[in-house]
Amino acid sequence: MDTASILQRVLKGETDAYASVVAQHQTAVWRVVVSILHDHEKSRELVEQAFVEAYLSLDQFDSSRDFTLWVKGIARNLVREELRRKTRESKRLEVYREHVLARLNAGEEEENAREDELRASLARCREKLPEQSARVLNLRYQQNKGFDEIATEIGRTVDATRQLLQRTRVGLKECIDRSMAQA
Amino acid sequence: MSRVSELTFLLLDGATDDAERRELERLVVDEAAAAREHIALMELEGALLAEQRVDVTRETMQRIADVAGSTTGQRVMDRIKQQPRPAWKKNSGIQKPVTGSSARVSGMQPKVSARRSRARRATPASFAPWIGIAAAVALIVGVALFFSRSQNGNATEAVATLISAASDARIVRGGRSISAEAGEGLFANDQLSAGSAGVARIEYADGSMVELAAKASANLLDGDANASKQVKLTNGALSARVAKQSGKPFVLSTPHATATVIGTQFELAVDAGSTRLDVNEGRVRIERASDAKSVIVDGGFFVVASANQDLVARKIGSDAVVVTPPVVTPPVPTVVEPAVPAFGIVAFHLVDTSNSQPIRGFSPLQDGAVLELRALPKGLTLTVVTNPKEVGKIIFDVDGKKSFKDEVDPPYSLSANWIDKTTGQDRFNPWTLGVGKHTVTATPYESNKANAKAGAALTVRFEIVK
Repeated sequence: MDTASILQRVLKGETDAYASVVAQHQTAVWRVVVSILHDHEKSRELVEQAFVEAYLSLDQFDSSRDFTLWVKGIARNLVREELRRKTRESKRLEVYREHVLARLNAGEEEENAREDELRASLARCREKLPEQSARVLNLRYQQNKGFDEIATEIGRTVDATRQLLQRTRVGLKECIDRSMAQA
Repeated sequence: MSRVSELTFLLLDGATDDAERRELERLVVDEAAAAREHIALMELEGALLAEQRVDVTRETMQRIADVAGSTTGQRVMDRIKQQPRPAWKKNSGIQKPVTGSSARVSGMQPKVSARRSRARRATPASFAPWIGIAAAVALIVGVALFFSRSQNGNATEAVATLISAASDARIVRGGRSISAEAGEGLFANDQLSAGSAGVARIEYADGSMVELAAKASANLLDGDANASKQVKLTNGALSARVAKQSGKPFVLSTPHATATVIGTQFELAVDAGSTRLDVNEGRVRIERASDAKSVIVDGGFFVVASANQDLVARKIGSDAVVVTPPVVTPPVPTVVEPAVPAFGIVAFHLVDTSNSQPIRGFSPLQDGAVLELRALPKGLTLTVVTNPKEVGKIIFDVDGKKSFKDEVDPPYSLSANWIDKTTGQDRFNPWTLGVGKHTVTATPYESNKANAKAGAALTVRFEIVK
C-alpha cells in the first residue's frame, strides 16, 4: 500500500498504521540527520521527533505531495535548531556548523541532490577498497563497533586499527573528490 | 596525512584533548584550505554514518502513543497529559479527549479597542476548572492562535507561556528534554528548569506571572478540583505575581509546603530541608506538608516551613528571631530577564491561514528557517508575540521596504486579519511573499501616534522555496 493510502488510514484513526510509514521513510530521514550531527543517540531522537511532528501535523499534509520530502524538511529544521543550540553552548569548532547551516539554507532541492551525489560516489569508492579496509569500515560504521572490538576482530592493536581507518577514510575522500569532479 | 586531517580524525573518533581541539580550531579558522579539508572529512563521516541502518519505529510509535492515547490504562493516560494533542485529533471524533467533553470551552480573551466589546460565547460554570487553561492560552497574542485553538475553538492542554528563558533552560516533556525557547506554550506536567544563566518567566492568561530563579526547577500541573493553576517548585526559588483569582486559588507547592494564593505578590524558596515564603503584597495561606498545619501570611511577613521549627509568620527583616538558620537559597532576583525586552517583540510565529493555527516546527520561527511551500499549508502568514501582550502599534518592514504594514490591534500579523462573525475567531489573509529570501522586522510602538516611542524590534530571516 502506498504512503498516501496509509496516511489516509492514520487520519481516520488507525494510529498503528503510521508504523509502516515510519519504517518506510526512516532511512531517508536518518541519513539527513546523522550525516550532519554525527551523534548516534541525538540523531535517533531527532528522527523520532521528526516523525512525531509529522504525525501531529498530518492534517496539514497534502497527500499529493512527497511525504519523504516533507518529513525530511521537518528533520532539517530540527537539525538547524540543534546546531544553533550547540552554537549557543559553545562557539568552539563552529566552522563545520556554520557550513552546514549555510548548506541547509541553500534549499531543499540542492541539498537532496548533493546528498544523492555524495552517497553514489561513496558507494562507488567503497567497492574499490581493499578487503581489510572495507571490513574495518563496515565494523566501525555499519556495526557501530568501538576500536577495541574492531582491533580484536582483525587481530591488530588499537593504534594500528585507528591508523588503518584513518588511511581508509583519506583514501575514500580522495576517491570521492575525483568521482564528484568527474560528475 | 595533513595535520588538519589527523586532528579531524581524532575529533571524530573522540580522541582529542583540549590542546588538540584548540590547534584544530586555529587551523580551520586561520587557513581556508584547512577549513575545506576539515569540512570535507566531516561530511565524509556523515555519509559513512548515514549508511548505517537504524530502526526507530518502535520508539516513534511509543511517543505517538503518548500523544494519541490509542490504548487504555492509566500510564498511557498520564503520558497523554504530558503531550500536546494533534489539532486534527481534537475534534475528529476519533477518540474521546483526555480531558473529557467538559473541556470544550470557548475561552478566547476579548480583544482590545472595538474588538474588545464583541461578545464571545459564554463558558458554562461547570467547566470552571478549564477556564484557566483556555484563558491562559488566550493571553499572549499569537501564541494563543498557535496553541490554544482548534477549528471550533476548543481549549487545549497548554497552560501557560514561557515569556523568557536563559539559553540553557530546558523543558522535560514526556520524558524528553528539549530546549526552552521564549514564546513556547507550556503544557501540564512539563518540568521547566531555568538553567544557570538567568531566570525563566512564565505567564498565565490572567496575567499571573511566575519567575523561576536561575538553576530553579518546577513542574507545571493542570488545575484540579481545588486549584485553578498549580506549580510545584522542586528546586531553587521562584517569585510570583498572582492576579486575583476568581473561584479557585493558584496553588504553589514544594516538598515541604503548599501555598494557596488568591492574588498577591510573593517569593518562594526551597532547599533540602525547608521552604521559605516571603509575601510582599496581599495574603497567602501556607500549609506544611509534614503535619498539615497551616498559617495565613500577610504582606510584609514571611514564614519558614520545615520539620524543626514553628510554623509562625514573622515580619520580613526579622530573620534573627527565627529559631533555625534561615534557608540557604538566596532571594529570587527581581531583575527582568535581559533576553526578552520589557517592551518589545518576543517571537515570530508562522500561521496556517486556513485554520488560524500555528504550524509546528515553525513557531517560533527560527532565524534562517527554510519554508518549503510544497510541505506547508497553502495559506501562510506571520504573527508576532509581544511583551507586553498588547502594544500601541506594530510596524512591519519587509525586505527593506519600510512600513510594509502597520498593525494597531492584536493579533499582530503580516497580512490582514479579521474576526469571523460566525465563530468569533480571528482569521488571516495569506501573505503575498514569493519564493526567495526574505527579511521581516517588527517594531513595536507605545502608541499609534507619529512620535510614539519604539520598543525592541525583532528581525527574522527566512527563505521560501517551492
